[in-house]
Amino acid sequence: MPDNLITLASGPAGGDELATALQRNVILMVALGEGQREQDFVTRAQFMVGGDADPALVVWAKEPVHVQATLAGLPNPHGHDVAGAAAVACAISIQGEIVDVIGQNEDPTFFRLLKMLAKAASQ
Amino acid sequence: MRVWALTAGLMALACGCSAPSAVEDSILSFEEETLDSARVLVKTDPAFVDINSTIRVLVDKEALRARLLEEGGSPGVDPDILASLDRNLEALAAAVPRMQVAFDTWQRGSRDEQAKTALLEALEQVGDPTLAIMNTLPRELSSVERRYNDKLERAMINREPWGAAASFSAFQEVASEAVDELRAKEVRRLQEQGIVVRFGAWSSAGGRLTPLHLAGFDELDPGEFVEYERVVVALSDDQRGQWESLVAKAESINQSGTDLDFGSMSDNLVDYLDELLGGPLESLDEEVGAARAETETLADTVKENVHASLARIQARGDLLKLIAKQKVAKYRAIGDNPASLFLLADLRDDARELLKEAQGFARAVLAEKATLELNLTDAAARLEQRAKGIEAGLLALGQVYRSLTSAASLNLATLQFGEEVLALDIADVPEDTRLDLRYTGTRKPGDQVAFVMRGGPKGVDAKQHETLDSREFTLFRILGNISPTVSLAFANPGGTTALKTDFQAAPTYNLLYRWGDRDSAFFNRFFTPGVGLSFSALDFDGDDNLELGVGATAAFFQDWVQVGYGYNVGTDDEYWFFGFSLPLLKAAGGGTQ
Repeated sequence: MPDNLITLASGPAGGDELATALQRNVILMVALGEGQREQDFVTRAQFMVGGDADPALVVWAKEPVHVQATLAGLPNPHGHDVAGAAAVACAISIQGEIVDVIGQNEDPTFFRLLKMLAKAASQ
Repeated sequence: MRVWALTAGLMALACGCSAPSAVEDSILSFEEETLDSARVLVKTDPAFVDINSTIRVLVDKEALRARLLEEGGSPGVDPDILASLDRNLEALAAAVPRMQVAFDTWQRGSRDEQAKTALLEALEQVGDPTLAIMNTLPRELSSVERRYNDKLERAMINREPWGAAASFSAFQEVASEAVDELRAKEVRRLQEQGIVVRFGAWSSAGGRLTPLHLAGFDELDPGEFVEYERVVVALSDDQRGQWESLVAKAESINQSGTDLDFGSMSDNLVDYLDELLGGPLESLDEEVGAARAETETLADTVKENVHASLARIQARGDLLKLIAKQKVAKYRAIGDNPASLFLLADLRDDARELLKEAQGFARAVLAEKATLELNLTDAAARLEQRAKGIEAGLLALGQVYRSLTSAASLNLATLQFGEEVLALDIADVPEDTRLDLRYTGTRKPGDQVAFVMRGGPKGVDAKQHETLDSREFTLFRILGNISPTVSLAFANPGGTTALKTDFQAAPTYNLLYRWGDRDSAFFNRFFTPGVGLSFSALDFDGDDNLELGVGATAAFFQDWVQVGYGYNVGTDDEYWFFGFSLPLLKAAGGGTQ
């Protein structure tokens, strides 16, 4: 697997790590939880943006509660719901905006991930 | 005064008679390639092209396929959606390699603001078309999602090297394949139904319809090659004949020794225009007046007939009531005088008589109803006749107006394909063809060229096939050109010569530069301006030896009128002049008393 995954540390340090990742000027595809859907998301996202030069990282926040404050501080022009257990994953553009969220009622398929990536690219 | 009022009326009238033909999704588009190598998209209305141009016809096969499916009762995917998908797929295919370059530059480079801007632009150029495609995928292309997921799942299992560029590329490929397959499927459906398409062109030159060759669509031979020169100096045979008439007319005017009578000329001109425009209007006026009078007469007649019918019905009803009353009174008498019981013997006959009267009354009512209906039918028929008269008057008026200001129109519905026009399967329909107007033989400004595309089932008579698209063009001299005219100039040297009159009539040869307008039939047909040089045969010194006058001139209105300023080379005199062409001189009686 390509080395484009950041698994956030457990506990409040996870929020700090996400904040650091946000400084790297890349698209972030953030998995929020450690269920099967989140695992599928991470595997597929790693593959999808696994090119050597791809300006994108996959971030796995297994404990989403610790990144909520960081996410809440980001611009969210479309009002995506990233709080609580509603979201499987979200995408953050290079400019640091939350651009898309995969909800619990959606499958994180490659097609859906591509849409998420396209939204992040379009910003 | 009357002429201008007529013109204003005709302008208003024209609004109602120049409606463009209704075209659904446009299958055909037309591009004009001029002799100057310019390319112009031909408008729908008005559609004017240069007489020497080549018309390139582009066939939108998406729209054709959709239209045929629609005609067959099984509509395919909206061609606009497919066209949008095509555009975005093309944009995506072009953007992905650029994005990869931007990624590499970003990774290796300084990552400054400029590089970031370039990266963001590259991402946007990929993201936008991807989202546009995803958001417009029609139901028929829902398999794209499954195919894309399968493709990437397989690639992941096979541990293929991957990345964002590959992800977008894979999407572009899968969606393109699906679109192509959909198209092929719809074409197959049409082929199975045996749908064929015919496309033909006709020219109205010479007052008859001549089929024209369209490469790929028929087996007709190309027509005769005739290119109209853009610079012509020599006079035609007709013009040479006119020149001789003008020489004679000038001599006649000059020998009469009288000066010009503008009043008479003006009257004659007005009479001429009045004859041209006023005739149909007067005829129309008469028709409208007659219709009005007819309506009043009919109204009176119908009113009288209705009254008469109702009076007859009433009278018959009164009679019935009277008889019934008498009969009832007769039998009431029995009560007063039992001895009159014998009257009962009449009961049967009286009842029969009463019944007979009642039946007679009913028949009378029905008869009157029929009479009334007949009256109304007759009135309606007479009014319809009048309406047809008015309609004919309007048509005549409209034709006069159109002959001056707009292009005539062919009845495209009546155009029938000859056997040489091929019945093509949709897959064999060419995507473009050309009609070089120079291969359409002798033609003149104002002639039309029509294109008609029809389609339908192979087994059905081609005459019953649906018209899928059609267009009509009018040929004019749009590009600048130089040509000669002859006219009778009235030269006025301003009293500096031996002339006894203010004006001297002189036959004049003009070499005029002209041009056309792609938007105005009035300009091309009637205004027809031209500017250039004039060469007049003058005799200012009265020695019967002609002198050459050279001037600059402008001509208008089919060369009926021209004005200019010139110089008599022989006598060294300047002069101004105005002139008329022969048709107007004939109409205006030569301009002298």
